[in-house]
Amino acid sequence: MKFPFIKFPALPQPAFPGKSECIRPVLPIFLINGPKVVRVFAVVDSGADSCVFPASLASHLGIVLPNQNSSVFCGTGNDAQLAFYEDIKVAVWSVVDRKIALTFDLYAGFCSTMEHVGLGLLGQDGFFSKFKVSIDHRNQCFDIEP
Amino acid sequence: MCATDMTTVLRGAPADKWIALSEDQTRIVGSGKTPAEAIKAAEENGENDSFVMKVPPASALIL
Repeated sequence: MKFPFIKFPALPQPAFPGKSECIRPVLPIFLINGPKVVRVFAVVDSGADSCVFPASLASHLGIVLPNQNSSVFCGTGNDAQLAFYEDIKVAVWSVVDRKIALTFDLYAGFCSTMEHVGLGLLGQDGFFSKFKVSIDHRNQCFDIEP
Repeated sequence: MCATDMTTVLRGAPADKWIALSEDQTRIVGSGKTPAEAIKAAEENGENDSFVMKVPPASALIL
């Protein structure tokens, strides 16, 4: 099942003076907790150990934070970060076909330090553990196989 | 298959806010300080199937 990358705007910087855009393997997805649904975007990120989302999405799903399912993780900064996990369902939306392409159960983390990113991360446990993912940057698409 | 180009719509997005995008992801249909505010604004505009994101800063790469 092929999905297109999403092209985001970027600004030139000293290290990348010619850069004006950035393509990322980002999926439009539904996060589902019973009758509650929120539609978001998530980066397919093989470098992330699990799947985490901005904490503010949890309240929209009726998930109360903090909960007992806490886990510490680290990113590029010095400080350890805390995510709280809950069982939800995920549906991947195909913009091309305008329908749900696949669904899966996910033990998803919610973390306040993801708030400024505004996107979720689909990482190893829960996403790459369930699907064969092939990135084709050259052709600006990626393939997800159950 | 080419990338879905969201540069135009995101360049017009309000800074440091959550935005709601139309189902086809071509229009901003709401915004707010939180996802809930953005979704509420979208629904008030008659868009009940919007996707939300906080626009990544154009000057920052994601690592």
